[in-house]
Amino acid sequence: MRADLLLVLTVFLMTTGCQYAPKCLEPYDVTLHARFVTLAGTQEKDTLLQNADIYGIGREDSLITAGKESFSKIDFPPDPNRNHCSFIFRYNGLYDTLVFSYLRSVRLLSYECGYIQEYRNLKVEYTMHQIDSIAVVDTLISNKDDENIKIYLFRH
Amino acid sequence: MRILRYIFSVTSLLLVLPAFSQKQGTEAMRYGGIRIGVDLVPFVGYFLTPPQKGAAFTMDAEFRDGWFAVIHAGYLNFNKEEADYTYHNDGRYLKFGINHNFVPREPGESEIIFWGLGIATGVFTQSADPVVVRNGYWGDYVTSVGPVKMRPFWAEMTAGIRVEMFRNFFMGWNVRGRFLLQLPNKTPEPYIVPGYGYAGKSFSVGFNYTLSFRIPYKIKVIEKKKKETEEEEKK
Repeated sequence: MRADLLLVLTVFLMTTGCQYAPKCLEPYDVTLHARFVTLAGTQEKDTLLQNADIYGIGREDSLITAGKESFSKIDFPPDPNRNHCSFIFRYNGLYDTLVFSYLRSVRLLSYECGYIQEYRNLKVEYTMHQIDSIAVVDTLISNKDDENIKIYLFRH
Repeated sequence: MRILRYIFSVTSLLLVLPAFSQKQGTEAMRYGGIRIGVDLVPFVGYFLTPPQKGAAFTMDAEFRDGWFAVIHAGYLNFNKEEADYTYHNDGRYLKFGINHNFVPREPGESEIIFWGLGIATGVFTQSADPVVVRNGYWGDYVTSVGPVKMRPFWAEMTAGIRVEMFRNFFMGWNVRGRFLLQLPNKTPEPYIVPGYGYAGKSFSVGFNYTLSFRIPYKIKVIEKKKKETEEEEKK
């Protein structure tokens, strides 16, 4: 009887223990999604910007618009090390400054993907050379594709 | 109330039956006592990736013929190193249960094949340190999460065998089905619950392989009374 029982045990051990590691399928990047619009009467229209540059203050050597000849949407990378970050927006030879402030919190996406940093209570300050106004649509900056701000430009 | 009475009756019957069957055997002695053992499965964890450092101990005693009270205790130290974070989990657990031998034993035989029910709890602390938030523009941010303390509860069903290899020295295995009853709603959700397994599911299966030693302080004499009665009748 003892031999039988140990045989059963051996077979059981040989047939257990197979596991697989699931991969991360969720988006990992966390950026502030912005859209440029102009008002035509009461209707807002997406605005395609050409030859516009945007870079972070302190990162003058690195354009976030690099490689984009024209765009109507842009993703601003929030600074994970501080509760605010600033960008320069250059368009038509004029410069505007945008300052984003937020509260940071680390969230576990999944154990396969790891942790991401989210930014809550988004607030925006800006100069008004090219920018008419900015509407905050969603105050949470996360790994989702939801639009966070609309940047209204003056009509020329 | 009727259902409660029914459950009580069935439970009482189950408790009485072993005592009844005891009277049907022949004259023999069966050693009783507390059996203390070590579960070898946690030691396998040292060789897994990621490693799970732990140990588990078990103690049981036959309080009625075929019925065993069981205590299972252990600890687990788990670290999972990924590219962007290192997860730490450190905890202890305690399980109480009752096992029942469901095959007839010859008098003097200690082998059992059993099923059992139990309840378990534990306490563990989890954290992630360091956590690296990647940012290609501004630069990476290094932080930590936790520690967070949690106390889960779960129920267990088990089935297995114990074989007496030498006098008072037992080997055996059992399979456990575990049902997570309560896990504190704290974030982040734990990766692993010591004693339960991976926390993503409300049901998990576990396995124990036990080496145990019985301290034979108690000797049961079965059917002594019956034989004495027969002898008295002959006289």
